[in-house]
Amino acid sequence: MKTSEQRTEEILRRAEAQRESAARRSKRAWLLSVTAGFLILVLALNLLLFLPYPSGLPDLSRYAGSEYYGLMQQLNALTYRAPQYKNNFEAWFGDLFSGSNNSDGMGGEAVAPDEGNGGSAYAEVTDNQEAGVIEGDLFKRTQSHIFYVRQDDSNRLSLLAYTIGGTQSALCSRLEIAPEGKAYFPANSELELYLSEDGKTATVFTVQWAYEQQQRYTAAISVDVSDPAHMKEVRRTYLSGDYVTSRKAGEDFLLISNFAVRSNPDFSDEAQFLPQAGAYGALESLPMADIVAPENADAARYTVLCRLGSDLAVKGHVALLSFSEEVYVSQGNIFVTRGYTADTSADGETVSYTYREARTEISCISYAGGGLREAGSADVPGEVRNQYFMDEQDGMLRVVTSTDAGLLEYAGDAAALPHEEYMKSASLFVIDLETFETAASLERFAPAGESAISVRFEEGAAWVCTAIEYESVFVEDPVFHIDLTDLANITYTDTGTIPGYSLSLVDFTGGTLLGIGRNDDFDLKIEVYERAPDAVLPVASYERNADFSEEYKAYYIDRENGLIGLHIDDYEGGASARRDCYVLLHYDGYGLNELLALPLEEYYSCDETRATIIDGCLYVVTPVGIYTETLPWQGA
Amino acid sequence: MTECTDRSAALYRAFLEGDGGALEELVKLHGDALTRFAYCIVKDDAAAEDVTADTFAALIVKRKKFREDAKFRTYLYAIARNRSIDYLRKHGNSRSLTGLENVLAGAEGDVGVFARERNEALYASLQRLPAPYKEVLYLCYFDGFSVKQICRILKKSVKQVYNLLARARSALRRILLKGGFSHEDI
Repeated sequence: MKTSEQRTEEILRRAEAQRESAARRSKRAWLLSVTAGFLILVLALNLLLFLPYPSGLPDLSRYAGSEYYGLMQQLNALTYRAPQYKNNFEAWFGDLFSGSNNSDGMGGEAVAPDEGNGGSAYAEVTDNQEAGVIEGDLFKRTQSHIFYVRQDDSNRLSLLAYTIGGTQSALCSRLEIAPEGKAYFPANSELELYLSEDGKTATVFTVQWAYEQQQRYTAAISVDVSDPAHMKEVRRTYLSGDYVTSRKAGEDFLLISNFAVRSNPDFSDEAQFLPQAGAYGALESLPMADIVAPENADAARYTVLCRLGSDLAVKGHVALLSFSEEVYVSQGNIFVTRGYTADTSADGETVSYTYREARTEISCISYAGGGLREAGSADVPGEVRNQYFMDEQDGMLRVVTSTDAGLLEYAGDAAALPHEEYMKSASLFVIDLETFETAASLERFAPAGESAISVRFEEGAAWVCTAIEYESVFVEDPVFHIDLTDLANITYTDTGTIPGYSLSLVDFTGGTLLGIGRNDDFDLKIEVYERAPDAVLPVASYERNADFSEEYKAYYIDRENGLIGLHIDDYEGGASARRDCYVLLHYDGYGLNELLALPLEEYYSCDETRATIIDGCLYVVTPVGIYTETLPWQGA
Repeated sequence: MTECTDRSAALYRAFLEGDGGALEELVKLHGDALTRFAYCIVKDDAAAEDVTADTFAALIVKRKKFREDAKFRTYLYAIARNRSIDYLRKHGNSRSLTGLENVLAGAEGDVGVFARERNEALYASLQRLPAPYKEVLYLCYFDGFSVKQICRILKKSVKQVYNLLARARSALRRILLKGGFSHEDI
C-alpha cells in the first residue's frame, strides 16, 4: 500500500482533476438545462397556444342509466356550441382589435320602522283580467295599509307599508329584502306583490341572479305583514329561470318562469340543465315525468310552471321544453304562448313562391284539481301580443292574433303572387279545449296591413283595436266589436278608420268600452266607445299633450263610478315645461272630464305609479312616496 | 474512536482553513481503514487505493462543513462506499480477491486494527462473504461504527442493519469454523 505522503499527493492531484471535471460538468449541465428549459418553454407555449379545443358533441354515455338520459341527449344537441376558435392562439390573437366588458352590482341595508297598527282584511286594487284569478302588482292593500314593492337605483328591493289615513297617510315601515346567498337582484327586475286574504302575509315575486352558478332564479318571498310596523321575512322558495308572471288562484300561487339551458352545459350538474324548485341550497330537480319534451323541440329553453301553496311549499310543477312569451290564466287553465315562424311554399302555373309566416303555439296546462297537468296545445297563425288577446269561455279558448308573413323567394310572374293572403291583418280563432282544434274563426277581419294592438274579451264578444304600423308608429284606429254569441256565425261591426289607436281596451261603465292610447300626434288619447246596432261609435274623448305608461296595471279604473286615473308626463306648457302629475278623469255619460291633476314633485317612471280611491280620498303611490288628495266629488 | 473522530473533524476544519499538513494527517488516520473497507467491496487492492484517493479528493472538492464531529467519519465512509459501488458498476463485480496481502499490511506497517494475526485472519475470512455482509461486519467490528452510523453509511434502517449483522455473523462463523477456528476462538 502507498504511504500517506504518496496518497496525499495522489489525492490532491485527483482533487484538482475532479474540480476541473466538476467545472466542465457544471458548464455542460448549465447549457443543457438552459437548452432544455428553452425547449420545454417552446413546447409548453405550443401546447398552450395550439392545442385544439375539443369539438363535437360531448359524450353522455356515462349518464345512460339516468331517467333524464333522453332529455340530456336532446339538450346536448340543442345547446352544443362548437368552440368559436380552434385553439387559444385564435382565441387570444384572432380578434386582437376588439373586446367588451361587463359588470354589475348589488347592495342592501334597511331603514328603521315607523309606527303602525294591526293589519286587516285584504281589499283588491288590481283590475284582474279574470274573475277569481288574482294578478300580482306593485301594490296591494288591506283596510288599514297600502303595501308597495319597489326596486331602487341601487337595485335594492323594499317592501313599504303606508298607513291609510286620508291626507294624514304616511310611511309606516320599510322592509329591505336582501338577495340570498351569492346573488343579487338584477336591475329592472320584474317585481310583483300579493297579499293573503287575511291581509297578514305579503308575497313578493322577483328574479335573483346567482352569479356563482351563473343562473337566474325566480324567487318567491313571503313576508309577515300582520304587524305592518314590524314586517319580517318568513321564507323563500326558488324556481329555476327568469320570472315571467304569476297568479293567485284560491290560496295557491301559479308561478311561471323561463329557464334557458346554457350552451354546453355540464351534465353532471343537474342545476345547469334541469329546472329545479325548492328552498335555497335544497332545490330539487323536476322528475322526468313532469318534463314535456317534444321531439321537434328547437330550443333548449323551458317554460316552468310551478304551483305553490300559501306557505310557498311546492305543490306541483310542469316544465315544457319550449320558451313562452305571453301567459293567460283562466279559472282552470294556464295558457302559455310561443311564437315561431313556418315556411309555406307553393308551385303554381305561373309562379312558385315561399312565404315565411308568423305562428303561435299555445300550450294549455290545467291547474284544476290541485296539481299541474299538461292538457294539450293548439297552433294558430299570427302573433299574440299580450295576455288580453286570449280568453277562455265555456270550454273554448278565444284568441286574437296579428297575422303577418314575408315573401322569402319566388320564381315566375310576380304579378301572380298572392300578396293579399299574406298581408298583415288580424284574425280571431276559437279553439275547442277538448280537441285543441280550431272550432271557429274570423280570419283577416282587419283591413289589410293592420295589426291587432289591443283586445278585450267580454262574455259573448271581443273588442279589438287594429292599427297600421308605420315606421314603428301606429297611426290609425278602427275598433271592432266581434259578436261571438253564435260561433257558427261570427259577425262584427267597427268604428271605421279614426285617428290614433288604443294600447289598452277596457270594458267600462254601462256597457261602454274605454280605449287608452295615442292620437295621431303620439299624445295621450283616451276614448269611450259604445256599440250601436251596426257600428262602434266613439262617444267621448280626452286628449292631452302628455306621455304616459303603456302598462295596463298603471291605470286606475273604477267602472262603478266611471273613473280613470293615470300618471302623465305633461307637456301642455311645452317640452321644457314638463311636469309629472296624476290625472283623474270622470266619464259622466257625455264626456270625459278632468276631476283633478295632482302634481307629483319627483320625476320617475309612469310605469311604477299606482293609485286607488278609499273613502273619497285618492292615494297615489310612487317609488318615492305617497300622495293623497281628497276628491272634490262625492261620487267616489 | 470518539477521540479519533473529534480529531478528524478538527483536522478537516484546519485543512479547509488552509493547513496543507492537516490533509496528510487525515490520510494517516483513515487511509488504511478506508482502503480495507473499499477492498471489501471492490476486492482489488489497487482499486481500493483508487477509491480511497477519490474519496479524499471528493472531500476536498466539496468542502462540506460538519457541525458535529461524529458525522465526518460517517460521511467519509459513505463517500467511499458510493465510489466503490461506482467502480463495480464500471468494472464488473466478478473478480477474485487480488492483493489481499497488500491491504492487510497497510501503509503504516503494523499500526492499526490488523496488528494482531487473529484479526488479519478474520479480515481475510471476511472477504469470502457476500459484499453486504462484508460491509456491515467491517464497519461494525473493524472500524467501530455504531449501528446508527452504519445505517447512515449503508442507507438502511436500524432493523435492516441488525438483521444484516446477524446473518453476516452467522455466515462468518461457518467460514471461520471451516478455516480451523474453534468455537472457543469465535
